[in-house]
Amino acid sequence: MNASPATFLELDDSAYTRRRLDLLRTRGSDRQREFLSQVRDSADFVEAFADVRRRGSTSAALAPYPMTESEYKDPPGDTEQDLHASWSALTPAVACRSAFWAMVTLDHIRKGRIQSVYLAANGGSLPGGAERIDAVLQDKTLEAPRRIDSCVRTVLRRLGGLPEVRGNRSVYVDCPFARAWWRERIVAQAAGGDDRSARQVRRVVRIHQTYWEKLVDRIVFRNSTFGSTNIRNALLRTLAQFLSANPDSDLSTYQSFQRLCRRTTAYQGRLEMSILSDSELDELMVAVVKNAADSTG
Amino acid sequence: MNQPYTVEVVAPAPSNAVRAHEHPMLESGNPSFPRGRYRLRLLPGDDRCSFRVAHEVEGASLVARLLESGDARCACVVSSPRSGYRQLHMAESLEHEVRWDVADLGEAPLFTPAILCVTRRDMKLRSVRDDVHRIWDKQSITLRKGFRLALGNVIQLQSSILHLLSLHLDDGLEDGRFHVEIESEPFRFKTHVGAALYRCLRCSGGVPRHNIMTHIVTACLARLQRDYRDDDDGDTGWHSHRNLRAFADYLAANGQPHWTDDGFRPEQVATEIYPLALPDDSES
Repeated sequence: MNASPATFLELDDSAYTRRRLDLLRTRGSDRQREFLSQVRDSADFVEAFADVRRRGSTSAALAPYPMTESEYKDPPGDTEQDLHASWSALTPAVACRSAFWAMVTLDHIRKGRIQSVYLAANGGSLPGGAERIDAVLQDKTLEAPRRIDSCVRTVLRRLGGLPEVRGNRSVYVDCPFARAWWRERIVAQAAGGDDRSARQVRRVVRIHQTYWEKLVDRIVFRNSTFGSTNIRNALLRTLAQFLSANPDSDLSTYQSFQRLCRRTTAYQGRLEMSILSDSELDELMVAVVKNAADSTG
Repeated sequence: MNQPYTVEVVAPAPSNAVRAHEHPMLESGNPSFPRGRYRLRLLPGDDRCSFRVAHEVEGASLVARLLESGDARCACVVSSPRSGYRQLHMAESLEHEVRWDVADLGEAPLFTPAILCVTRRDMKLRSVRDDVHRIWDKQSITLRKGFRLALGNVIQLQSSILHLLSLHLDDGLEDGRFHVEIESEPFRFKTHVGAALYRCLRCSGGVPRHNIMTHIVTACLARLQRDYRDDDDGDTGWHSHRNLRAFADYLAANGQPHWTDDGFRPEQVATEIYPLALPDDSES
């Protein structure tokens, strides 16, 4: 699909912003309760957004197959590869937009690729979306408003991200579809066409949700070193090679990864690393990763 | 046709951070070059995805000399953290074109100007010859590839209230009516106006247009107060919008309260920033 980025179908920004702000205004309100009741049924959920204007003209492709709740919440690596391939025409300007991914998620619900209740599911092996909605709506305790509000926020985060609450990281880490695209994009950039490198880097960005979040924080929250593709690629390639050879290394924990990132940005504080050639960067990153690994014992 | 404008990205100011780096650096808050100034002359491209950038350095003869010898080059980092984009643009001379692909950007770009070493140089500094602070006099330094000789403040486009505001013709509105909606990607006040009002705001000037804009700004500030009243720390809420953070800085710099403050009055702040224009006494 070679549609111009500006013409991908998405929810109207102002209308969707207003909808999110309305839903977040009062914890445990009738508005929130009604919304969760709509989440309970896919047709009702799609209808709940029917009055939100759309803009653009070209729908993004659908996932090639229906997904279970578990597959949707935490897609396997090959599923994320398939999703990224389906959305190969997307650009970063489109893929960082909550309004775009909300439209994609709604389309997937409308076409039965996923169910709306998936959006409310807790992580891991905790209760699924339907159980969670039923439990919070039946809750008569003083905790009920907080639990209802939390459930609404989970739905909105999965729908397309919730930047008001979670900042710019939200699209990248909270919406499973967006996360798949961004992870595979970063893998493809770092690997540069090398399949083995792609497998290694993919293992790194999929180590753990928190690991991925910490990487995203470094990329999107600041005028940051890791926004530079060549620097990010060199770091991820080097780290991936190291962890492939040393799978039990402490660098596979997010805490050590954060320290590694700080070491890298300390170098950036001394010199502008993106001026270095790829081979100079690789050499620098080998030293940075080795020092970080040695310091973790 | 766009007009060029100049931004002072580094100016002399008091500070204690003279030896914050291994070499003198022309940057805000660092008096290594006590009389140093760094300016950019910017000319936006008509295509809206480029700038013509001219770097101007004064009072930093060391930097000027290294630029002349080719051991240093001017550069500009263009970034859009929201879409994970950061790109270094190196110049061949003091003036260069910086261009980006809009498909890569999730927000108005940030520019960070810099002057970077491109070769290794070992040298002994002389404060008079090099324009450096006396604390650097007779110090031996090594400059390596990538070291920053100058680093300007980040220039953020679209950070004043009028850059946060867009006008849209709405045929569904009767003449003289408007309403404001908020967009969040990127943050913007989208003002829908009826046809005659749209023509007035687009095509005319003078007192009516000025005062209508002040009214619109009041409405925008009221929406901000209502919908973005949470003042959490970190990067959430209004903090997640770079241009709102810049606007908050603008209010503070102009002695105005923040919209989350109890004492914030939208009409008061709007008329402080854009006072209503009154007819000439001779007309009444």
